[in-house]
Amino acid sequence: MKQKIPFFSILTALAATFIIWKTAAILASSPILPHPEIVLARFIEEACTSTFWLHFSISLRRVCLSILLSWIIAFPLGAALGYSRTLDRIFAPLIFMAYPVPKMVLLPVIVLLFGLGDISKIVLITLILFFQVLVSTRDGVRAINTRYYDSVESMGGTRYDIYRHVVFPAALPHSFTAIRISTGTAISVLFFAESFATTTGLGYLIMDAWARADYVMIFVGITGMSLMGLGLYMIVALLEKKACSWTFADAEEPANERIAIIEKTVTYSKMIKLSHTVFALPFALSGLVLAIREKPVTAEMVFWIIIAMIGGRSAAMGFNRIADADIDAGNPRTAVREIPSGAITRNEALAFTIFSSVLLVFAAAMLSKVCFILSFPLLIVLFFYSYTKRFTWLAHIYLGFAIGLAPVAVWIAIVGMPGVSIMLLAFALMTHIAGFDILYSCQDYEFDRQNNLFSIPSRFGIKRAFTISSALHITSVMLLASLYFTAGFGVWYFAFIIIIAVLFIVEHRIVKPDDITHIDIAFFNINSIISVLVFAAILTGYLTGG
Amino acid sequence: MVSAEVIRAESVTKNFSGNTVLSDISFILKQGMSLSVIGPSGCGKTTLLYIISGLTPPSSGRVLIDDREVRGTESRTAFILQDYGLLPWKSVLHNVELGMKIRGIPSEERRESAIRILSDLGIASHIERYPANLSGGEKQRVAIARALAAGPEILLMDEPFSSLDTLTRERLQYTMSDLQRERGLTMITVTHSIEEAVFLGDEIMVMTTGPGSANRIIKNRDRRTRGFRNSGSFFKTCSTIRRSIEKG
Repeated sequence: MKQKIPFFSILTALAATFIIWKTAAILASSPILPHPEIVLARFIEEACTSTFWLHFSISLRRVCLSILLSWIIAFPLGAALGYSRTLDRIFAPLIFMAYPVPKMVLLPVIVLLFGLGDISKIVLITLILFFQVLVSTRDGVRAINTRYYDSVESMGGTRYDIYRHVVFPAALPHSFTAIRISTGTAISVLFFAESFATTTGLGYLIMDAWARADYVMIFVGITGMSLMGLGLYMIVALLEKKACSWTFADAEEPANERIAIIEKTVTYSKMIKLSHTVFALPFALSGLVLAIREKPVTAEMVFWIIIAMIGGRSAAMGFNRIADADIDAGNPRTAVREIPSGAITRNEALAFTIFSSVLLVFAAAMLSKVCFILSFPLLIVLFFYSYTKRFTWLAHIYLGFAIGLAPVAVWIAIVGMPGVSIMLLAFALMTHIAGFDILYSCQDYEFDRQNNLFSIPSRFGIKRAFTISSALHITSVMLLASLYFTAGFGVWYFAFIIIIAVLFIVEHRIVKPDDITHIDIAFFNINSIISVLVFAAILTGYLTGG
Repeated sequence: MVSAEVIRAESVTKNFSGNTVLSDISFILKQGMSLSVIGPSGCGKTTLLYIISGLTPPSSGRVLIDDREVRGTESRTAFILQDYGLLPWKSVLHNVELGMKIRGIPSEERRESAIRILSDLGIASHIERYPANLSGGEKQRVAIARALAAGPEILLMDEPFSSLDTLTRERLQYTMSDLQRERGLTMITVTHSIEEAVFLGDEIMVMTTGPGSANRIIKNRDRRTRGFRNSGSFFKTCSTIRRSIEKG
């Protein structure tokens, strides 16, 4: 079953909007067109206030009531006009005369009649939507094949039965399409109605910001209105699919498609081990804490650092899954991975990797020129890991090196040239990761040997692999301890280092060369805890240090 | 076999805005018998069915069913329209239930008889589907199920199998022929196909255009004999009808 998933389309559309907006902002280089990330930051800030949501909810209520009201009046009327020739003869000329009249110009009159409150706004929007729904419904009913009427009538159906079983169900999709297309119009009219003699709603928010020359706020309001329009459009589309499922009978079952999108998203997150990204974040944050001591850090920088980290990690994971698809397929432990099992096609994974890479490069460009330039060799370094196990047993060390770059990259983004402390941290992470990756790969001992894949267990045997891993972890603890002296941490830092050391010992106790069955859940959890503790240690050291 | 007369058409004539499309049609159909109506396009075959079903009144003359003049649709009569007339927004089950629903039959009973007839026709597994997801043959089976679900005595069919491939078409002709016999249906089939007319009709009415009138009614006495479709009598009747149509 081949299905088109709009997952990438949505991501691509968002990225495209962002890039076009950004380019326009750079070209315009004027406060009137603020940069998208500034608007986004302000939007998030405003979204944390009740004022914003008050205006939003008032606007939303106005639009929703108008949509509902216009449908309730226009749908039965349109259906009746479409079915009854007599009614149509009487009312059609009236409607076709009124339809092209620009209803917006009636706003002053409506305000005079209905006052300055909600009602006048609802009346204006309803009036405009009413005609859209009415005309669409009427035309829809007129296009019904008369055979359906005959069919119901031949079964003894009355006029009521014809409305119930033919006219209404046949007209429903037309009215929904009209509503869906009109959501944009409804929001536009809403803005117009709210820009005039009112102190509530998103339209007011925009006009007020305009009067105060708060250009960022104007765009925050515009973003709010756009999101409202988008949300309404999607809700109407969803209702349409539910209520008029027969119109989609030719296509794949609509419900399945929706589930498929969710499943696909879950599959993608599995592919890049999204949970691992969260667990790897402490590395980047550790670098951040070290960097804060050198230079001030803004919220915007943190935002782009996180985006870059997610982009880089996703790209590396995606690429690794593509490069290793054949190897994964042959190994029973990894055959369930997303590409070999067919959950994601190779092309989709490729598109995903490209998108993630672009995300990394873009985020890096947002940070600094040096970051932008370095992001390219960084991608090569990340991608190269996938090939190392084909020719060297040092692959574990390389993996540690690649992941250990995270705090260094953060440092470069904020401070610039790497110092001693950050390098110590990088090496501590490298040995930590290489150490547990060796233990992990003991599971693939047989497979690696059979397939000529390089790893420390397959080269030196499981027993010696354990010794090497222990040595690496001892090194890791020592490197972390030495960080105390270079970074000027408080003594409390050592408390964490002791806990980390104890956890390493526990880790090496629960797995034995002759019993590697415990390598998995408990093992993975301990490594996650160690990663978080490294961050906690550095944070505590920083806070208690001089 | 002495059966009661069920349908009697007396000089049925129909004019549409000054044009006579049907002129002076008369025939009698006995209970459990089947009449095929054949003739070129535009000879008023469909109009005749509409008049018998009660959907359209005749301009003059009258149709009697059980000695009562037809003045509107009746529950005894089921009509399978050309292209099936299935409602695209209703599932197979709801389409089949529709006639019973209109007549106010309780939902339990409706469902039960709909499922029974759908199983008889071999499409019970499709009840949740929409017509758009069915093949032509399946649609036709659903249309037959819908017509028969409420247990009619008279069945009118307007070119029921015209858009089907030959194999499906023949299979359904057999199905229809069996159903008619089992249920003792009095049936009128309008068709373009000579073979179909001969296979399904105890009598075959050949119509001519300008204005539509009954050229002649041919008795098809051997229809109910075993192996009729491959018999000499079948082919003989077919050629008789062909000649009759050609003469006009």
